[in-house]
Parts: sequence; structure tokens; C-alpha cells
Amino acid sequence: MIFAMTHELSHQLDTVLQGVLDRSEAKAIYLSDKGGNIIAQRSESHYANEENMSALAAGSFFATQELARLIGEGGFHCVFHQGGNSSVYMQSLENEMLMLVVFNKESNPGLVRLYSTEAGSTLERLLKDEDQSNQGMPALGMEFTIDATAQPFRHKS
Amino acid sequence: MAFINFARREIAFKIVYYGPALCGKTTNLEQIHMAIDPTTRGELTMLSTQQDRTLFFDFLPLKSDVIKGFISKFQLYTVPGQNIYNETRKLVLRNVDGIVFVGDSQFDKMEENLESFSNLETNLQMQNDTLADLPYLLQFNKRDLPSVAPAHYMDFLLNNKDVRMPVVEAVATEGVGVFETLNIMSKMVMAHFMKQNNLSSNDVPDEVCVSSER
Repeated sequence: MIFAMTHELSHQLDTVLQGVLDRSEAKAIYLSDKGGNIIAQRSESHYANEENMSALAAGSFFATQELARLIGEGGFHCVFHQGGNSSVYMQSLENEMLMLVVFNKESNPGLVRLYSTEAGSTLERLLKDEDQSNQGMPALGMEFTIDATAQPFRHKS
Repeated sequence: MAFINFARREIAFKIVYYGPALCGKTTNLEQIHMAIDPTTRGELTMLSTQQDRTLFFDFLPLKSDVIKGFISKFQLYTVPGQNIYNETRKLVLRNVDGIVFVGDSQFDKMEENLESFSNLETNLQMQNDTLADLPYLLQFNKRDLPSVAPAHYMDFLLNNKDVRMPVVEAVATEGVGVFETLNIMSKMVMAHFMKQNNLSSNDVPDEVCVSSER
């Protein structure tokens, strides 16, 4: 199984995420899959370890789904972690996608939640449309070539 | 599930280091983080208890240019070895593209190795995966210790299937076998990706495409 993102979908997702970022005055927004892969992102502030952030967010969010089950819920739709200066808001989407919003005191949780929820349904529709139209890699006519002479990873020199 | 982003020319794979408690999964990632070209790695995130036991997972993102025209991203995860964290292991296994099973070579750890391997199979079944459909290899770690089981004995215990998977003998604390494991696993994952999606794979070395039959 593979998730393949086209240029068109990438542009559409970026547009939706940028809208949330602008309206909520958040610092960064990431869309990731349940494995923590960043699928799309927009940010005002640069965070050095975005992949680590996304992996941790996906892990912690989906761990709370088990907690939800223990109290008789099917799952939590959103999780909010409030810090002194920076906070994060996480919201689940269909197909086990996750939206992660990083914001600070210039914004507030209510705004972030409002615009994230609105954007969530648009993102779900875009991803669903792509899922239905995606006929697999061969249909995209791509060929990949692995450099067989090279090791993927090397010691530092 | 591999993830490919045509807009960014990126392909992402997830590799999980699995095995019993204290077998050296985290040590593998630490050695890679320490010894690899810094331009090809991100930060190593470790979620450990005060006793340095993995609580949630360890995570190390790597990138390579081995697929021409694309940045290949490999996300390395470990699972917690302690049994009480089995739910966490299931979470980490989601969307996995390849598994490194790290076995502890000490004789008195064989039962734990078998338990962990069986637990891996069970957890994969629960997400409708199976080892028969996933690239994986076995790393026999701690080969420097005095009371180790012969490699062929461990091979008999853990690799006694219709299709024999690659084995790497390692001393992870000294970095021995760590890069070999990583490179073989990475190539296996890419070869699987190519094969699964009927893509060009003529340049993939044979030894990482198909495991030798017993």
C-alpha cells in the first residue's frame, strides 16, 4: 500500500493549511498520517525538528485513542496541550490523518479550534477524492531507479 | 505504507527495530546517530524512563539520495522492550515498511527472543499484516559477550521459515554490524516498494530483493 501525493493535491492542501495559519495567527500547521509522515505543512516560524515533532504528535495522539476506548469513547477528535508560551492543538481527520497546529500567545485555543475544525472537513474531502482517483503508481507512469552501486547510508568521514 | 510526495520529490519509509527488553534496539539508533554523516540525519528523540528504558519509542529520521531524483527518507523507530508497553508497540508498528528484529545472543535470552518474535507476529496480525508480506531481517546482537549462543542455533530458532531472511551478527555497543543492518534493511524496503508497485527495480541488487530459499 502506498500514499502518493500529486502536485495538485499538494497545492490544494497547502492552500487550506495556509488559510488556517493566516486566520488563526498560528505559527505552524502540519498534516501527517498515522505513521507520523508529514504530508503537508505551512509555517510562519521554522522549527528545526519537524519530523520528530510530527512523529511524537502522531504517537501521542493515537495513544490517546486507547485511553478513549477505556472510557467508552470511540476516540477523541482533538487534543490540546497548553504551554507557557507555545501550545499545540491536534485534530484527527478521516483515514487516520492528523492535523497539528502550533501556536503561541498571539493566538488562542478557541480560534485555532474553530478554523481547524472548518478546515478539517475540507481536508477530508480532498484526501477522499484523491484516494478514489488514485489508481496506483503505474498509472502515474513513474519509474524509479535505485543507485545499486551506492550504500544508502555511510559513516561520516 | 510508503509515502511518496511528488511535489517535494520525497519518498518516506518507516523502519521499526523490534526485540526483547535490553537487546540493543536503542543502542543501534544511538550508534547510527553518532557515526552517520550529520547532513543525512535529524535529531535522535528518545522517550526513556529514568533507568534509560524505552518508555514510548525512539525516533531517528534519516535521508538518502539512493533513489535517483528523489530524497529517500527513512524513519527509524524502536519499540519498548518491556511487556507492559505492548500497546505502544502496536502503535509504533502502524504503517511499518520494514522490521529489524534485534535478538540478544546470550544463551539465557533465547526464550525472551522467541517470546518477542511471537509477539511481533501477533501484533502484526492484529493490524492485518504478516511477516510473510513485510521485509525484515534478524540482527544477532551482543556477539562479544562470553555466553552467546551459536549463530546457527539462533538462526534455527528465529529464522526457521519457508523463506530465510538475512542475518547480521552485531556488537551494537561498538557499532559492529549496525550500518550493515541499516543498509541491508533500507535496500530491502526499497526493493519491496518497487516490487509491490510494479516499478522499475532492475538496478536493485538481487541479494536484497529476494531471500534465499532454504
